[in-house]
Amino acid sequence: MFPAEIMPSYDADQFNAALALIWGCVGMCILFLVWPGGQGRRLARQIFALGVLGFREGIRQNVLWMMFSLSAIAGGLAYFSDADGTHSGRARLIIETSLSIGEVLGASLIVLLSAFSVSREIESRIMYTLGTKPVPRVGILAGKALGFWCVQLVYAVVLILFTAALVRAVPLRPETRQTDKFSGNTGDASVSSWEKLHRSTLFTRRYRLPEHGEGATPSLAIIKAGEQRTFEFEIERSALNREALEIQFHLASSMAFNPLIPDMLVRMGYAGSPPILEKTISVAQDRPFSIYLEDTDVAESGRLQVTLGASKEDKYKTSILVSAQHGVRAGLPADGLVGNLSKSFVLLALQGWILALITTAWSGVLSFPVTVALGLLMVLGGEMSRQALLLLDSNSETLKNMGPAAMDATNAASEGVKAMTAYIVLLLKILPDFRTAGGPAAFIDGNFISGWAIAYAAFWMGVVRAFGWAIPGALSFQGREVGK
Amino acid sequence: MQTTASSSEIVLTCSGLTKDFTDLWGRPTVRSLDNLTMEVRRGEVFGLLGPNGAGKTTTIKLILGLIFPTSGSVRVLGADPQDIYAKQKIGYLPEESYLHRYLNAEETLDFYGRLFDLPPAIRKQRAAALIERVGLSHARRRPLKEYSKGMVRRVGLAQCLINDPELVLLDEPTSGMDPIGSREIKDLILDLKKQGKTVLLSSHLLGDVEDVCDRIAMLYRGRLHLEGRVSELLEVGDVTEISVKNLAPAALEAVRSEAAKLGGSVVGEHRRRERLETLFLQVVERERGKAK
Repeated sequence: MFPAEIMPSYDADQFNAALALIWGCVGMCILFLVWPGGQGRRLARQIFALGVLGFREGIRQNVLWMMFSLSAIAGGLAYFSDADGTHSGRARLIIETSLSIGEVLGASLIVLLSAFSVSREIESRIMYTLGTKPVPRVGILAGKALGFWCVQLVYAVVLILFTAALVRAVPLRPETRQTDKFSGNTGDASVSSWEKLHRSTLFTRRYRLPEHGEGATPSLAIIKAGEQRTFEFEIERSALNREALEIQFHLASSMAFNPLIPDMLVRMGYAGSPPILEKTISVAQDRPFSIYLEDTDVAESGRLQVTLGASKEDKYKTSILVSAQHGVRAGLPADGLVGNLSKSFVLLALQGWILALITTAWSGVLSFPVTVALGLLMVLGGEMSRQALLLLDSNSETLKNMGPAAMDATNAASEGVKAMTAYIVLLLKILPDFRTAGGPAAFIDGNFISGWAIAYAAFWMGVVRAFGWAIPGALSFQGREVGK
Repeated sequence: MQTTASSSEIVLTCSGLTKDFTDLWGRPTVRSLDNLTMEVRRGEVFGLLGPNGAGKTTTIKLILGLIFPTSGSVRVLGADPQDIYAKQKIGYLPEESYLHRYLNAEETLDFYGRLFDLPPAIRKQRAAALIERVGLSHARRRPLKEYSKGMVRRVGLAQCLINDPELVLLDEPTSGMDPIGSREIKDLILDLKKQGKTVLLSSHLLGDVEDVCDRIAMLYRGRLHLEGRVSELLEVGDVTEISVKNLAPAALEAVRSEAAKLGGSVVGEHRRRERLETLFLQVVERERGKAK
């Protein structure tokens, strides 16, 4: 685990937010259950009964399992693809295709099904029977939400198990990577690039080589035990549009069988200024190691120096190998859990209002296009805008322009790209960033987001989704004539 | 025709109840119910009569809070139709049984029992008794989608009674039932009455209503046209019917003459006929006996 200074700040947020939410929820449950007169317990039992029914209804939906099959097929295809030729690359691809797509599709579908469930029951007149029972309408909606949330949970678990099995099976096929693929960006798009191979990481907008200058040849750096090496990165503050920076190294060591590089010194600061960061940490071997700089940390333009040092105390005298792929990337930092939950709640509340309208005021015929449009907005805005951002930055023109003036050159290259980027940036500011709020892709960089954080986030996303749906839905449903 | 054992306690009141249905833009399209005022007393079987579109089902939906009145008010068991505590004491059978088709009879009754928050033991006991009562013991674990219409209707009736309701609203209860089922439902209604339950029955099958109802209200095009006790409404005051068995033609002639002498006039004369329902039930019972 990285110390907080090096970890992205959202990890600490995640912990605090998760704790606050959990205790808040526990408190509400206790209040609910000890409410005088036993009304809370009674309602809880009714909601549970409706939830069980909703679950049975949801789990029977063939379309859900068809969606799972599609995700599974995508994951299977990814397993047999070459990806970047490495095991980790193939695992990443499997997770991206199977889990990410499956989760997004599955979640959208379940929201859709739950919305239709109520309107279908109104139109099929089951609500004639259900609505005359002594259950508040909010209870009916909460029960539905609970049931479908459980369906989503089961769906996610099945999908995760399936993906995990595929990932576990990845080593059964040998790696096929070629050395030249890791030679860094030489300006020749045909060589491919490190950026492309790691397109799912959080900072993806641009990549700059450390040895800036046209035609500079990156080289492998070896830091022997007890020695240090300083890497310099030119930071142009004016070229950053309130973006954060990620300084990334690809580290290996002379102790190839040790998964960790022990007690590595990390010192970072502007040349001639006191260090911003100084730590001794153990880092994972043969994995990208990143130091994040928030926008506020990038105070000025200048040469940012990062010093890495190999431990002198290590009994194996491990040397650190810094491969050529280190560099700086700039981009929008992914949202933390708190930010994500806040955005999600607002959006899901909005979604809830629309679903409530669909459920309680509009006909089933109208509900379909509206829900699809809403889903597209969510999906495009949330997940795919990030992918679109990647695609924009992965075009060959951008790659060719890599170099000291890359940022300016790219911005000047196309007004259209600039406008599109600005639009996507706006969307990303508004919409939840599922990638870090428990989105399955978070598994990819598991060294930054731990499993529990993902589990918490997934859980709370579910809760938020349920509440975002049920609360406004209930308010609207309360005044709905269900017997027309 | 039944005698009533009802008390004077009012369990259901409709005052000036009016319901306009509207289009998407809120413009009234049809007045389904117009200024209905009526009362139902505890322990009576009250019939809502009328042709299709008379407003019977609309009245029931208003009573249950499934739709809201345009004007007027409804009080059910002294409370608003939306009141959860009032709903706890109401049983409702819609005109068609709208149930979850993937559940079986036991699961359906268990689910609705849970919504009434009945303890598990009572839920189980009532479900078993009701399944037995509606004659579905043999199919209690088959999903409803495999049931015939009449069987689904029976399950609907059972769910309507799972909470041992004080007030039972039955909308076309014999719809989709064979004559045996219809008879059983009518018997059930009479049983409910014996137990002191109040039953509001909506039907356009006049025979059914006449068989079981104490009082009726007749609706036509949303308006109440007639209300009163069945016995009083159907009584023809100046005509007396005497049924006589084994009377020879000559004796019959003597009866006619005697009636004329006493100042009466014979307004009709016919051989007594069984009701078709009775005949049907006799045939079925006979065949059942043979099969056994």
